[in-house]
Amino acid sequence: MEGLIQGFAVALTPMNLLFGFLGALLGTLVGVLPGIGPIGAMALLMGATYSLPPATALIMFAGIYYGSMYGGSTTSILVDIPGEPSSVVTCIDGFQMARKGRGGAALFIAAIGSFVAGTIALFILTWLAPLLAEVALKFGPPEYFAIAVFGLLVLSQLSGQGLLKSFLMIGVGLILSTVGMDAITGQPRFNFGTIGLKQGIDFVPIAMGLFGVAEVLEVVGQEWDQKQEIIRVRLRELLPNRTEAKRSVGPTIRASFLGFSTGLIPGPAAVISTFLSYTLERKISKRPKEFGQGAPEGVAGPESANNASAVGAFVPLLSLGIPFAPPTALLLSAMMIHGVTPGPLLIKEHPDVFWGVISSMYLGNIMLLILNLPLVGVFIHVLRTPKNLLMPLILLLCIVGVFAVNNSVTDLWVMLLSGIAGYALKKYNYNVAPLILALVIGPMMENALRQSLMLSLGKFDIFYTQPFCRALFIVAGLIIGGPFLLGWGKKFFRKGAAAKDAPP
Amino acid sequence: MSPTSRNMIVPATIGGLTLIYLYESFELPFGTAHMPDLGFVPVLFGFFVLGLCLLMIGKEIFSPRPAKDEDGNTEEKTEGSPGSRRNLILISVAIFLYPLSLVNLGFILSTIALMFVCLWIMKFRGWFGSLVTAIVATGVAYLLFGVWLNVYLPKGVWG
Repeated sequence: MEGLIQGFAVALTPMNLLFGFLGALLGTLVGVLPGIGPIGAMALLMGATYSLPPATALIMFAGIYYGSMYGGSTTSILVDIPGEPSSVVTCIDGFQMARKGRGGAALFIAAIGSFVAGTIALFILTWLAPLLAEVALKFGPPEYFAIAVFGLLVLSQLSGQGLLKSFLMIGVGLILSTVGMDAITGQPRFNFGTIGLKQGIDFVPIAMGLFGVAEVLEVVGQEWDQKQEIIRVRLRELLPNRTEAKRSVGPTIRASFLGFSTGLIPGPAAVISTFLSYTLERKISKRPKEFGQGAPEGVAGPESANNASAVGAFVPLLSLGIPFAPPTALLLSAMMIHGVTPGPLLIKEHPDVFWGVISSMYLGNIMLLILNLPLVGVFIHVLRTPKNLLMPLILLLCIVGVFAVNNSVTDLWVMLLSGIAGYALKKYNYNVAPLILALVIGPMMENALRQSLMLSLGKFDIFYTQPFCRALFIVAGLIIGGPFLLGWGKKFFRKGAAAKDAPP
Repeated sequence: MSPTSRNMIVPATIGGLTLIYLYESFELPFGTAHMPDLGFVPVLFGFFVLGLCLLMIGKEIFSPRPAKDEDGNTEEKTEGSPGSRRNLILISVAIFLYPLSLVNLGFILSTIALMFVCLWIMKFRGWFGSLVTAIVATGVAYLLFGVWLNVYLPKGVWG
């Protein structure tokens, strides 16, 4: 409680309030705009926040991340286009509600659901993050190696592109992470004589290339002059009726806990949580046939879940210093740039940052609620920007954003090459999220592996004699091998049943 | 291109690049299991990726499956019109030339040129409208980042 009060003292300073508001506003804008997400926006502003105190910069970045979750729902409901992947499910019932003239109510349900779920998740984060940090203080290199491997293995199963493709993307990310200075010996490697690569491949140009430039190239290769029908909403139409409000309470509460728990899992947690919440609500609903036709539960559940999972994703970042999702990986980069090392010691070494960011999220949720409902008409106007103007502008912002971080032309080359590679990978149905996470987790994983081997005098059994490591590897093994075993079991029993039924 | 050979492009390319990476890894000191040096982990990563690439290629050769799209159709994806392919190539070339021109011409001139090419290719307006938009966008970006936020942007010929 003392820490939280200290956090509010940090978050309530005029400067931090202003930057928290800016973050929430920018987050909503990038959430509304398909094509540029929170990663692009954060990377873009990375260089511009050098002169800011670490807490202020991180408060703004956190605002961008959870703000984008709010913004994504607006376009899903009014245009049937998800601003963010985590708002895809909202399109199903949100747009149907809007077509029936209940667009305002859908927006209200989404905003209130996001606010309630975000706040519930924050309560859990406030309680859980310091507790986990306390436990993590006892962790050594083997535990960190196990967490990194566990994270990457679970992510490979959840990225939705098949195990081999996921593993390949993880492998490429790990290879890229070895370029540059070796953290233990301090010697350069794989820099091919260039000074630009001596410090390694930065995460920002790779992320901007894979998410920003690749998106621009994808739009160039498509038809971009399609006009969209945008449903108008008046301010007085915003309130839901009593039935809609009543039907939204349960899904919001359930999705808060479901979303938060999903946020702790590596991978695209925000997206997964929305699908899980939608499926759960349809399963337990008394009116399952209304789903897909404009059921308020189909908006309240997923929208609450994605906000709660965005908050949940802060737990591994703040307590362990390990990002389990690309946006939190960017937050990790931002922390490092500002000289703040996330992990179990963060709460002791930088309590202003730790509690300041958490407290600012409570305030940010209130700001987003105030911002999103009355200003929905303003945000929706952003969508009218033609793509053939928007995409060159995104390219310009990517260039300035990447160059601003290190003033390095090598970073520009890395971004442009990753953009082209990202475009090609998308064409061949590869999801690049595992690559990004592996690139960030790679150095930590390598150091933890080498330190563990040094500690154990070269014995690999250090990874299964420690109970925590053993438990993580078993769980990861079950997650990876589970579907295969289940499939094999089903086949086996089906064969057995067929043999029984067959005439003698 | 058949779906099988299409599915092999990515693993084959990554596999080829990994071979170069592995060659470089073996040039580094490997160390021992109880004192792993800076080549130890790259060799492990390299073999992991190479193994995966071989597995994926082998899977395509020995049990080829037609590439299915989201709807379950086995036809190849539409590659876009020849016009959009040409646009894609032109913009990729412009993007590649940008870092070279940035150092020599400076931020303002090279960015105006890149923006103009992109806007013009994407048919935002006529050539004059695209040029004006490119100048305005670059000017605003320069004022915002270079002047207000104090980000260093190369001056080039104006330096």
